[in-house]
Amino acid sequence: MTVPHEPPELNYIILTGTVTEKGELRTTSLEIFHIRFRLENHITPSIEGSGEDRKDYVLDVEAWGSLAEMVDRDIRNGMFVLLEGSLVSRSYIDKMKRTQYRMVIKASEITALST
Amino acid sequence: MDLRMPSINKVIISGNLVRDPDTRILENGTHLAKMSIANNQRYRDRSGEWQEKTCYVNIVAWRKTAELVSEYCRKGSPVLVEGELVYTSWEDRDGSKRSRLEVNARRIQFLEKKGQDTSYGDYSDGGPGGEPEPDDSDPGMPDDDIPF
Repeated sequence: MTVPHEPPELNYIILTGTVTEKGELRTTSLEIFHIRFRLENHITPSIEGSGEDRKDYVLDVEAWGSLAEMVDRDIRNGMFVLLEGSLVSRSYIDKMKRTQYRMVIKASEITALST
Repeated sequence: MDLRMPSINKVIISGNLVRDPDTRILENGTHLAKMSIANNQRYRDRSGEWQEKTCYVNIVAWRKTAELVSEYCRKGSPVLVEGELVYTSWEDRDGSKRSRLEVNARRIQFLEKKGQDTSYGDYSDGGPGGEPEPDDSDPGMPDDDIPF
C-alpha cells in the first residue's frame, strides 16, 4: 500500500440543535441559493441527565444550493435538527474598519428530527 | 415514555499547527495546551481551476493529550483532531465581551512520520475523568492572534 505524501484534509462536523433566526433565501450574482440560520446546540458536558451543567451554544450556519432551498421550504424556527457539515472561516469589516474573522458551519446535510 | 432529543456535537478536522502550541499547567496540576490549526480545502472555481482556501481553527487539549501535544507538536506539525465544538466567552482588558468557537480535543493523532517509521501516533485522554475541567484563567489566545 502506498502511503500518501500528505494526509487528506478532513473537516467534518455533526451536531444536533434547535433552529433559530432563520433568514431569507437569497441568491448570489451567479444565481446560487443560500440561506443562513442559527443553531442552538444544547450540550451536557459532564454528568448525563443532571441538567446543571447544560450549556447552550448558538452557532451560525449557512446552507447553499438545493440544501438552501430545502431549508427555506421545510425547516422552521424551533425545529430540532441533525446537521452535518464543515467549519469555514468568514470575514467581515467591523465598525473600526478592521477585517474580522469568524467561524461558521457550512451545512452539507440537514435532517429534521422534530416537526 | 418521555424521551429526550439526542445531543450530538462531534468534530473531526485535520490541519497543520500555525505556530508552536501554547502549553501551561494550571494551579491544580492539570496540563492544558492551546493551538491553532490551518485546514486547507480545495475546490474548483468557475473556470475549473483548483483553488485553495484555509480555515483556521482553535484547538484546546487537556491532561495527557496536552502533555503529548507539548512534547511532539511544533509549528507546521500535521494533526488529526477529534473533539467537540465549544463556545467560549470572556471579557477582555477593556471590559468588552469577546467570544470564539474552538474545538475541545478528545483525541489527537500526530500525523508526522518519524524517520522511516510509518506508524502514526494516536493519543487521547481516554478513560474515566477525561472530561475537560473548567479553565479559570484568561483564554489567553484572543481572536486577534489568529494569523489570517
